[in-house]
Amino acid sequence: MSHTSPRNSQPQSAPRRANGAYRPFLRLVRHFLARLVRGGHESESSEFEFGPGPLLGVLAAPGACFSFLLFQKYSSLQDWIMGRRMPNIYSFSAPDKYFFIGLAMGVAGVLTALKWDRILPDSQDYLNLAPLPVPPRTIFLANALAVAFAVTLVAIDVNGVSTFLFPLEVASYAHLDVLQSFRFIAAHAICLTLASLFMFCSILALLGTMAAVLPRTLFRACSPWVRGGVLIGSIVLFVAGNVVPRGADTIGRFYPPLWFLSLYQWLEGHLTPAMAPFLHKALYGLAIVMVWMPAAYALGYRRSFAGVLEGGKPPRKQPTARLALGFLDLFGSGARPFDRACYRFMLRAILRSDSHRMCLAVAAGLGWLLGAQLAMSPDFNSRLEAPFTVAYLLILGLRIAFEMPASVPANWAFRAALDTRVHPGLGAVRRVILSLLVPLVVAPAFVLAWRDIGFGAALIHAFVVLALSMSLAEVMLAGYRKIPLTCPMPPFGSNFLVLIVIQIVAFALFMQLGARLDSWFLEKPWYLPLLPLAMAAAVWWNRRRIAQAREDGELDETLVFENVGPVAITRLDL
Amino acid sequence: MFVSPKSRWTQGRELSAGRGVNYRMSAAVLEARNLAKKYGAVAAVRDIAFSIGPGEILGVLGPNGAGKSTIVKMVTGLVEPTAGHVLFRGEPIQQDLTLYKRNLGYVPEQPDLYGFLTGWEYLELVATLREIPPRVMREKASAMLQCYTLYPHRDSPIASYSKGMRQRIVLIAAMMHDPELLVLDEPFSGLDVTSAAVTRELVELLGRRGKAVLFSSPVLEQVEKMCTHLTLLKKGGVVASGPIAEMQAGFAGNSLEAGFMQLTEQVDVAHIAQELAAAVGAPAR
Repeated sequence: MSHTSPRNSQPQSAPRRANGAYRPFLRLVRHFLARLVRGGHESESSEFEFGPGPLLGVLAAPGACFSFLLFQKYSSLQDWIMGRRMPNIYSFSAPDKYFFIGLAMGVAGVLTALKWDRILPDSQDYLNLAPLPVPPRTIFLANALAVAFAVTLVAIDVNGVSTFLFPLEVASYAHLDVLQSFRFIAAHAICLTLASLFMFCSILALLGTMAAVLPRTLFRACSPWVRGGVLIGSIVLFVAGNVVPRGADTIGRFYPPLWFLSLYQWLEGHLTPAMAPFLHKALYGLAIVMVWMPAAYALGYRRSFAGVLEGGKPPRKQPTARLALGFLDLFGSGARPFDRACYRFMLRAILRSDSHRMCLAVAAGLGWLLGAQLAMSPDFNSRLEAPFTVAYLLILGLRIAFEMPASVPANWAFRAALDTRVHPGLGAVRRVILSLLVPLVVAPAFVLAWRDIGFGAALIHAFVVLALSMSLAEVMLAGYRKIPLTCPMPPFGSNFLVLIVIQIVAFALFMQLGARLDSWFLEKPWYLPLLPLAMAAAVWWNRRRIAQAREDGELDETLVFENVGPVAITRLDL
Repeated sequence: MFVSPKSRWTQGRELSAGRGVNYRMSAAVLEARNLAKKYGAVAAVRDIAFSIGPGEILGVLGPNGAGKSTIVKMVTGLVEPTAGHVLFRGEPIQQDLTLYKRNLGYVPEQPDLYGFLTGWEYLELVATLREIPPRVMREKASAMLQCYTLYPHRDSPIASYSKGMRQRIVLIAAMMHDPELLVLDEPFSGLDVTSAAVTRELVELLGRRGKAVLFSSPVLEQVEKMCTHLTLLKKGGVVASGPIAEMQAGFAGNSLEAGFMQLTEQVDVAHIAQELAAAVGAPAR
């Protein structure tokens, strides 16, 4: 063997550092921070991706908006006009404090659940970082520091505006002195930061313990469901509003925002007797999760990072899942071959991909939660609103899931097989929506109504729910020119808030108008044929409109596989 | 017919892996002794032994599923062996894994890079974690990016890179710190003809400069052209091992390819191709 100077080369030892010119630890912290915000596998980048600036802006918005809205409540002019006497400011402001606590906890919970797979290093990190001469301890500490920094930053961002604005509003309204005002600000800041931390630590502790204790395959199977549950719980905290539950001996005593309201009052020095029993729960709860979380995090880290390449068990056959898929596949029977293929692809992608499954689970879970509350209401009209609530959220969840890519690089299979000038995929999309609406909304609605108002009326109710839900799906699919799950995520960042407002308004309208229409058909069932007639007329009108647009050359029916940004300069064809 | 796993080349360096072994007896840069890896009940690798001296390029050749990538992962310290040892300069790598990795350049089979980083940012990350001074990094990375025609794309996100571009970035990252040992797991995957030729020439040059190279590939032609030594795997075990020249001579008249096919896959290639053609030509409906 011929080689030059082979044996005199000595192994490289640790290089000498030139006055801190390069710091691997800080670079690693920066890297983990970037990964938390932007990271992940690009082929699976299915989450809403914002830059750090817009993300912090969106997170700060609810707290800031609510603080501004409270100007009206804490207005002495309004008191004077309404002839209202100055109330006890601490009990008067308690619902708002409660709202801010719920907001802080909800946002922390949603973010932790969404970013869970980026908090602990994954296989990508392992393959990139493990071959480098960086001790595992350094990677662990850098990751922990990045996560701690991100959590603190988010807590400050979410609560920053309200920390100053809300206490100042209250202080100026109630003429608090400087010392009291500072104590108010400090109590607000400390309590909300601790509430955010409590939520973050609890979720991390829970999922970290699962990662450390459960077998790897079982953890992978459970993790999306637990995350989905956490997400629903966090959204409920967020939307629970400012109605403080009462009673230390009710189920409310297990509700963490109440504990932190008592902590808030205690920090202010005005702990009310009603809130006093919850104080020790807040302190004990914080202490427990602060101890539990680092241990669970360290164990989970060890399991997920060090053993990342060790998983070798083949997946199980899952007979129940196969049975469910077999049932859902029935909704695709009778379709054209291409639609049938698209239908089966979409259904499997939505039910097997973690992010899609979580999106669907959150939408359906939230719908069921709200729907169950309405279904238990003594008011008949409220009960009628229940299935419309579930249907709207389910269709919205599906619509969002359709925009999330399953694996963009794999869309060549469709591109290679398709003539993109025709639009064959929409039939399959409708079938997917129908296949999930029937078992998750229509069937339960029918069963509940049968028990409530009899078989015939239940049939009418189920028919109306199905018809209106499919009409809603058509509206939501207007202008849709994609095969779902095959395109990169569209950029929502610029009009995200507008979309949210539109969806909230549409949700309220659909729920209430749907229930009223349903009630009307139940009262006058002989008008029921009008519903399919109206739908047929709408379909006919829409087809005519599309045909006219096609004739005029104004309709672009080409399938889209990439999200093309808005054109900066448009050439006018005069 | 073929060279035994315990050939003259291997036997001379083989040592028992028990306690009290004088690891420093070996002059090899990298040595594997009785390596085995089990995933559950499945034995991915069984009783593997080889060594690579300075200036040697060892090709690990075998069909898919033969255990090449598992060996590479054990050699790079990414996966712990179920049994056996990996020695670097006569010391078990687990004794000081960080020091070992400082001397290791690794090109994985599937480069799963951070798509949100640009090519330059990725190299800067790797260089910083390897504690390469920034000035040195800039000079080396610029030169290597230019050689690999990636310099104009250095500020584009890796997400927009083709497979070949990613592979070239990984090659640069693996060699930027001038490692003593290079472990290349199918490094030509996705590379265009020119880049592959450049890389092959580069590896041979580095070998002549005294670097030890472990090169894993399923393609005999690549291994035959580039390597000085060969270890042939089948179902997780070594079926032949030794210097390429000796192995070529060992097949007495047959080409290395014929010997390779004989040792690994016992299949009737022509018959399978005919069956496939029949399936392709079958009516669609």
